[in-house]
Amino acid sequence: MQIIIPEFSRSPYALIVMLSVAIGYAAAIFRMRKSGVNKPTIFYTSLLSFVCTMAGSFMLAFKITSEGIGIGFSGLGAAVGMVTGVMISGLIIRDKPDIVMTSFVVSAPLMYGLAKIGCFLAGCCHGKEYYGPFAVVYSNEHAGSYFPIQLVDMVIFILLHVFALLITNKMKNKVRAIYIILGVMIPIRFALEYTRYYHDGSLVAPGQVTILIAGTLGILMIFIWKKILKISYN
Amino acid sequence: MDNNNNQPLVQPVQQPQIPPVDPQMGQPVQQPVQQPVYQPLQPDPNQPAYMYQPPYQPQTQYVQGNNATLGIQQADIYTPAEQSERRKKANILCIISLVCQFAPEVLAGIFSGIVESIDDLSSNSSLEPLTYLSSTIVFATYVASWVLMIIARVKYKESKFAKVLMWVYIGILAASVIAIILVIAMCAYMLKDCQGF
Repeated sequence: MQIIIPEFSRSPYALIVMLSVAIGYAAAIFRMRKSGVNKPTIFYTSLLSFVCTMAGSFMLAFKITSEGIGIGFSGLGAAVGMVTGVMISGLIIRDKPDIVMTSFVVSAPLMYGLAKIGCFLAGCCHGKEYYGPFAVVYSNEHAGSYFPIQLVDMVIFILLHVFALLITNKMKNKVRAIYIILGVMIPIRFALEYTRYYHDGSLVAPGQVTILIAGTLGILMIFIWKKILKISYN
Repeated sequence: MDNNNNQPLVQPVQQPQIPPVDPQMGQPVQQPVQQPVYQPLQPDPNQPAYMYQPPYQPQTQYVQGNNATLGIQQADIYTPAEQSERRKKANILCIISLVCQFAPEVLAGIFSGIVESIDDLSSNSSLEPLTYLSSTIVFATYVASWVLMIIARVKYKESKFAKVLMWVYIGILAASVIAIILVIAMCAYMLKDCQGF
């Protein structure tokens, strides 16, 4: 059985990515409201986080070169930007910062999982060549038969979102819940890289090194952030 | 299940007190407040030996928030001199924020000019880190402008300059997002038209 993706006259990628970001933000805002976070806190945090997401996304993919200004999007940059924005906002506003951070960390896998529908339809980030069951076949510029890694990504990250929701609802220590979520998410993201077309077959490819560095830095930043805010659970 | 499990196992012993009156002043004499004496109840043989214990609810402790998040009307708690001082501080923050907002565009323009003047940039790998550095500075300055504006809005809530600045920034951001979407759509349309050439 194969999954055949037709060639679209207009790629739905950008629309789906924007919708997934909007849904992720809506979920984070809903969660913050439910947890009793003040409206101004939600507004300023969402605003700063969105600006940092945009800046982070472009910063890692925007370069002034001799050929002109190169522009693009970076999912990793967006994630780093979002967390940085929430951290800065927590340091400024100091209104339930751990709950605010948890809301965004829980929404991150949802955003990523939903955005993968766009990748699946567009054909980018596709898997290695594959002709078995559920192989995805493109007839656009990515023509070929590939392992449906985007669908696997989508399912795994939406399940991760559910796991993150359950764990944060159960645990009183929200910062510890964030560590657990990141501790689960980083190895999964690392392992999924092996199935991508651009993985060179080595034990640890450059893309995987980037994931490890970004993940470790993220955990370290949250640790320092918690210490600065003196969040404690008695 | 019996609902009487929540009955306390101890109850206060009622001790009616009549305060003595001062014969000279004609007012009751203040006496030290006596704490109620509790005596343990005899356990009811019909009741289970355990009692309901509410689950442990750890309270999260944060460092104290600022007045804006605590819902205090700032205009009412400061003297006119303090208000003037606060207005000045808010204005300084807003001006630095404005500089940071528009400095990246100037910096990017200057740097683009420098880069374009160097013909063999692609062969000169030593300039490559400089391009990343310039991009980082440009975006860090842009983010700093938003951070400063939000600090002004949160810390000096009464500042009208900060409020106006916030809506100006939001307007610019919205316009930028629309512009990016239009540019991407236009590029896609042009590429589609160019097929076969």
